[in-house]
Amino acid sequence: MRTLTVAAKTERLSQVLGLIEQEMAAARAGEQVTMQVLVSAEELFVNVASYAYGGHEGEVTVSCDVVDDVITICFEDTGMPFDPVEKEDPELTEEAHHQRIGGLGILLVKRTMDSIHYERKDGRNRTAITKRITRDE
Amino acid sequence: MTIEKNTQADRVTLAITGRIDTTTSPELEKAVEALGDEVQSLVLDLAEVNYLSSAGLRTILAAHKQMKKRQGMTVANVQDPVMNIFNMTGFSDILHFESL
Repeated sequence: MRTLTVAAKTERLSQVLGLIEQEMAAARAGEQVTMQVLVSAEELFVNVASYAYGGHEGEVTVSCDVVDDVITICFEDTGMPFDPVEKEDPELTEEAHHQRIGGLGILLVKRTMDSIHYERKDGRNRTAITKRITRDE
Repeated sequence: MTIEKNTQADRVTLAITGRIDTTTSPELEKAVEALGDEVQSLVLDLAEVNYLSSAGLRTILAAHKQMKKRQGMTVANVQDPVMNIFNMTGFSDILHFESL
């Protein structure tokens, strides 16, 4: 398992995605599944960076592990309780798209990942996603 | 991300290279907002885009909205993994796609 703790700032996004990208490459993951995993990780990281600490400084710990061709990525922070899974899905009509919709990224996570799990424990938010790794032909 | 702007009469093509994500999408947003009123149609050429997240989707939607009052916007030359993101979010039903 690889673990990285960074400041909860969007400027750190490429560092976080870099770690996950390396894991996906090492597992010889296909292009599409790699993008789905990275896009989902971006969404969860940016959520923490944008909201968890309400403008104050804080940290996020990202861990990443591939076991039996399933990647598990976990984000942990000590910010405000926030359950991304609970958030209602946005309507996917043209009208809805014309508003500045929130929840779009989480919808992508739900639609592309095999599982998303949130828990609040000992003052920490912990959100984990899993995805079976497929390979390009 | 880099953006190359190509103007032909009242049609502008923005050829984007790299990733459209949370950190880079504001740059695309600015490029679209900076288009003058004389621009009637916009092509976003995504041939060299290998990554698109929800922040990018929102920016592309805003561009679509801006161009709807004129002759519209076309999203061109989308790579398969990026198309998958458009499909997963229903954007493929809203935007106009072409392979140029």
